Amino acid sequence: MQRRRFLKYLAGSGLGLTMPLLGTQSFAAEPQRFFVLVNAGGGWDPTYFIDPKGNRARLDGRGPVNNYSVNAITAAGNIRFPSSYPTDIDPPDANSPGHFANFFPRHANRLLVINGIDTQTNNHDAGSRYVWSGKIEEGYPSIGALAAASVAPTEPLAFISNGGYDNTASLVAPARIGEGDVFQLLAHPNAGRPWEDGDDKSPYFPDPIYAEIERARQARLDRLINSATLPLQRQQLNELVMARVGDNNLNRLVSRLPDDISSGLEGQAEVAVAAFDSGIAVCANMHMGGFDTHGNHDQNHANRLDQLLSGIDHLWNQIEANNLADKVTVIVGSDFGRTPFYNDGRGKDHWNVTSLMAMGAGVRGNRVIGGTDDHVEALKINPTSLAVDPGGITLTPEHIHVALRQMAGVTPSLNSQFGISESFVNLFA
Amino acid sequence: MDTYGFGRILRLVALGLLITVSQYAAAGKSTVENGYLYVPRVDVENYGALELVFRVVFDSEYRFLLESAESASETTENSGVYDSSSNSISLDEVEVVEGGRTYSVEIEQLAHETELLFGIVAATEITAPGTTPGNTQSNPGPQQPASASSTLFNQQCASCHGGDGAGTAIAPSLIACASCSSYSTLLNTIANTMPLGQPDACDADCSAALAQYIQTTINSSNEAVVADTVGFIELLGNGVTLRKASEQLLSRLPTLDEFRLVAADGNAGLRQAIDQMMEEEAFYRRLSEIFNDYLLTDKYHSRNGSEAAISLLSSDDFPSRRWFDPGKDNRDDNYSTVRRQTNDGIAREPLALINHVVKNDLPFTEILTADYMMMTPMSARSFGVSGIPFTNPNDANEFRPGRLEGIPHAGILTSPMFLNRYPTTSTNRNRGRARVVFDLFLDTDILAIEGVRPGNAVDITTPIPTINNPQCSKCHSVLDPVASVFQNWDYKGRYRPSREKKGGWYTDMEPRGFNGQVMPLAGNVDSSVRWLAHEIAADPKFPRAVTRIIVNGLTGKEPLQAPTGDDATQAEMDAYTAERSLLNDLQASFVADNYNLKTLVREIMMSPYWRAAGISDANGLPIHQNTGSSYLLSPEQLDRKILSLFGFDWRNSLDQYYKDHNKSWASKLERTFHQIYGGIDSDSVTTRLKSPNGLMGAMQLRMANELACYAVPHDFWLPEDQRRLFLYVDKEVNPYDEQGNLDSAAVARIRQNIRFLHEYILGEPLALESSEVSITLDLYMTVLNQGRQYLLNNAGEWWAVRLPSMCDRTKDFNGVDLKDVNGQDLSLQKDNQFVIRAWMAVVAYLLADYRFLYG
Repeated sequence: MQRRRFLKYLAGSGLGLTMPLLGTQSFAAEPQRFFVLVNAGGGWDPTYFIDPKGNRARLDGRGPVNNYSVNAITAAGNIRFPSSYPTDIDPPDANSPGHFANFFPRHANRLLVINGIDTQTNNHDAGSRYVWSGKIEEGYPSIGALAAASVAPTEPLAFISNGGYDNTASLVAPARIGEGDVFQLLAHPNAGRPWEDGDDKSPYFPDPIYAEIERARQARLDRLINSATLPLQRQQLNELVMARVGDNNLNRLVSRLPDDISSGLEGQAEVAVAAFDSGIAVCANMHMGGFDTHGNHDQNHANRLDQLLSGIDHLWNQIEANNLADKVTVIVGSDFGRTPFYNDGRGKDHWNVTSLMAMGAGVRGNRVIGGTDDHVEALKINPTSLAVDPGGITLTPEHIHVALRQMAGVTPSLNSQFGISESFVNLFA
Repeated sequence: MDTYGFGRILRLVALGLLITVSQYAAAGKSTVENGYLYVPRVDVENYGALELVFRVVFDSEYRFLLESAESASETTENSGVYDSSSNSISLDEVEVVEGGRTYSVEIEQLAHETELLFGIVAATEITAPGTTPGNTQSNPGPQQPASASSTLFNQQCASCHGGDGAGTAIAPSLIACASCSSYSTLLNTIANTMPLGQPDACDADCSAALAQYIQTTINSSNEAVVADTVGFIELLGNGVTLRKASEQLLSRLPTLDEFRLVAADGNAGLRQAIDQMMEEEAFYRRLSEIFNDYLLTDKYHSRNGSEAAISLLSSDDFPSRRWFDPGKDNRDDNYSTVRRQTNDGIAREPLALINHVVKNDLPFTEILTADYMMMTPMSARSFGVSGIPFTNPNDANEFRPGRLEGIPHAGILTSPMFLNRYPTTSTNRNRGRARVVFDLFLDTDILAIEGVRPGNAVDITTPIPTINNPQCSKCHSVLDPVASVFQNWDYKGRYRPSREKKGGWYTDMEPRGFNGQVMPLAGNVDSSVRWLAHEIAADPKFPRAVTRIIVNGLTGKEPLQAPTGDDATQAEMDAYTAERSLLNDLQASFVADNYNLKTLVREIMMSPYWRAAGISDANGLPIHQNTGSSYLLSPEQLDRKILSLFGFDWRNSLDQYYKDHNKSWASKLERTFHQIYGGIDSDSVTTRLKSPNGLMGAMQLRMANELACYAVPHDFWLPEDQRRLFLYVDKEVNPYDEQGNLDSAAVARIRQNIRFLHEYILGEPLALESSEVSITLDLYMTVLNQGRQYLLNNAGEWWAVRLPSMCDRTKDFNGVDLKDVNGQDLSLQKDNQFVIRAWMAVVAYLLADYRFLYG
């Protein structure tokens, strides 16, 4: 049961009509382009790190945008960032890879920062949906799902989701990862002791007999599909078939996982990269929450950003260790931004203007596109030169996604089905 | 009017829409268009000639909110007269642009904390197609001919619901609408609430005429659509329906008595059987899951932290919240258990209230209006409540009603768990809570109102954007009154009346209210959530919201949404109309039976959509793309199904079962694979996976193989009268006799057992000679033959005849060594003829099947 069988199901079921991803090329080889979408859940504050403003007082009397010193703003290459934190908080460990002073000098050359993106919302659900699908309306798939559906929809982990916006519009089934050690169990469903070698795996059935069982199971699904007259039931049966297409490929992942998978964002990165390396995944959502800092913003946001950037640093280490730097694109974003002033609880509320970071394959680094004014209103850019231009356009997630889709090789039919009306701006290359 | 005065309004930034309506300026005619009333000129003492713009508040009451007042040109004709003694404005001509009708209207300022808000005092139509000037809009009478009713509809309803009743951006479709389930429901809704905010404008006769018109004209084809649509559905038989019901509600097989009941009384028996099922405790476990998928209050269950719920209780309010802790040095062995039980008693309070209401046949509205909360013997001690007559003071699962002194309970809405699950901040001001209330209890997605925002989403230039910026107020005028209702409950879910707080509640926010109605302060100031609960309970959207939750619980998907957009097909519209009409009928039954939830559950299960087995004609396929109630069983349901079928749940080898079978959290579907298989933790993972992915597919296969390994030897090991799987064979029954010839009698018994397994495991009643039974028999024979060859090839090898070690039965569930039971070896490790392994193959085949994995 691999490609031929799968295509047969689609032809017979009509599912191909809703799965416009079945160019033969998709099945000719393992995927060669991968995407990691890192979600800072809750709405991050770009002014705290990649769109720094500092503690200059606002002219309207609302106080400063940030509490760290304007003089702390520095740059690594073209990437501006504050080299230190507000003085009244406990800053991250100076040796932490997520400390600004460590992260940006190390990654600036590969880092693209896009500032001044108008999400047009201050609602978490709508913002998350807009940032990761390119449409504020409901029902649009994440760019990760589109990429997975365009490249390798039948791989068992085509779209790994650790949370965040993982709507797939039924193009692919998102896979949630539990504890890392279960991959052994799932990669060898007929083995009583999958972690052992050879015969010591203690199969429940001798291999030839298990092959008979598998054949019988698949033939039974065939019969049920052919006899089902309820479209919903037929669709469910086809989904079941698809879920089992790649069951023999999980062992490739197992062989590439670290012995001890880390916790948190680091662990998500390890599984994602191992899945890419084994060719069974195309996209992974990495997710951490805690950015919705309505209170005690400076301390809480510093902690979260340290974890986030440490996780990205670890992700990049994994990517490089597996020689995937020219194949993996990393996009880091959040629901929206935070107010360019503090509320009474030393917190910051929701703000529609946000930023995005990108690095890796297809991304020309050491660049900052777009910007915001002193009050963090989005500045327009020239769509050709990408320079700030009052007569230009305001960047929205739609522009980001038109460019992302092109980079991800999203098929024309999927592009049409989930259309975005904005024209292409060459943001990444 | 001078309390806030025109002077304040004059300072507001003029709205862009003034330009769009300026064509009417010279004539002085007022216009209603795009949700705004534009008045070109009214003279006001001390302010001169003013050009006024009102926002029309359609969502609750028909009101006019003054948004802008600019100096008008002296050359513009007067649009009406302002009477300073009554703060009213008489407008000579108000044209409703959509529909082209013109009225003379008198509006009067209403008492309001922060707004310049006007209500309609009188409105008289002065021009309309087919009518003569001066014809009033009321009292058309129920017996009016259709054309008169049509005119009345256009006058009263069309501006919001559209001329064809199909809905607009500001009001829902009237086709199979929430109140359209019956003439009387619709009549009551119109008479009491329509036009929104101005029900007096449509008296009893007018309401009757409109109800009749909406039922007989707009919804005239509904019955035909339903009949056509349902006509394509082939129904499950009563027996299969019974099994499906018992599996879904109770995760068990039907009893013999239930089968007899259905066999004897058909649908009536089926209804009775379902009713009886809803008396069992297992039903309430499932009910809690169904509602927790929406409430998500299990975030605070002890699975997510031993004191996840306890820690939410304020130690100031509940000083004995940790009553079970005698101090670190004095804790006994029970400490952890009692702590967990106490926590879960608190965490499960909202779900327990739902169960209590349903179990006792109380109106389901009581989940919001209950003036009590549910407590266990343990949680009551944490709450500091005594005197509750518990049957067993040590039973952590016994929930009974209790009250907190001085707290105005309002069911779930004031539950500490609900309020903490949906917390607020000083800037959010309970809007998050209000959004959830609309979503869960009124089936209204507030976010859907906003659409695409054309400008900046965060407006810091307008003084009160949620009120004064129409892009914001479109949503906030609906949301914020409900948010304000929660003002007596703080961000931690503690009861802290706002009037006792310094500064009170925010003045730059809509006052407390619902559906456009401002909450009467008398008697409600400190108990406004209770007022809201009763308002919601009386709202026709409440039964619709409950139906949505139950439909999702029983079918794995929510009811269809009304198709929108120009590309909606007729099939999509018919599918919606048919399903919605049927659900309206079920909702009506639910309401008519005093909001008894059991009635709703039962009637959904009896409906053709739930019992759909197939479509009889290809012509019916387009309208039945989503018909059917099968869904991928949740890990919890699959877990219970396994326990029900086999008598054990999926853990490790049964030889190890004695070690942890009394522990919670030892089942693989509850632990190792719970999240992978699409389960939720109600915290960071809150939506279930409905379609299997590659990992889930692999898990299904592993589960099937493991369970076959455990269940088959175990069943053969059991005494004959305790077996569940092998009623027609034992492990000695071999299709070949000693000479190697086929034994037809043995084969017949094997076939019979296979037929039984199809029914037992898959719920698939088959004829003995059916092709499916034959195919499974073929698998059995193929495996057995290969196994016999395997044994021949490895003759004399001990490992060839023994079962895989994980499948052994060498210890019973109590850990007794079966190799030596009073000197007897009762263990089962060998499979000399490969018979057991052939049956394992059959069971592994069946357990990976669609009919096992989907409910």
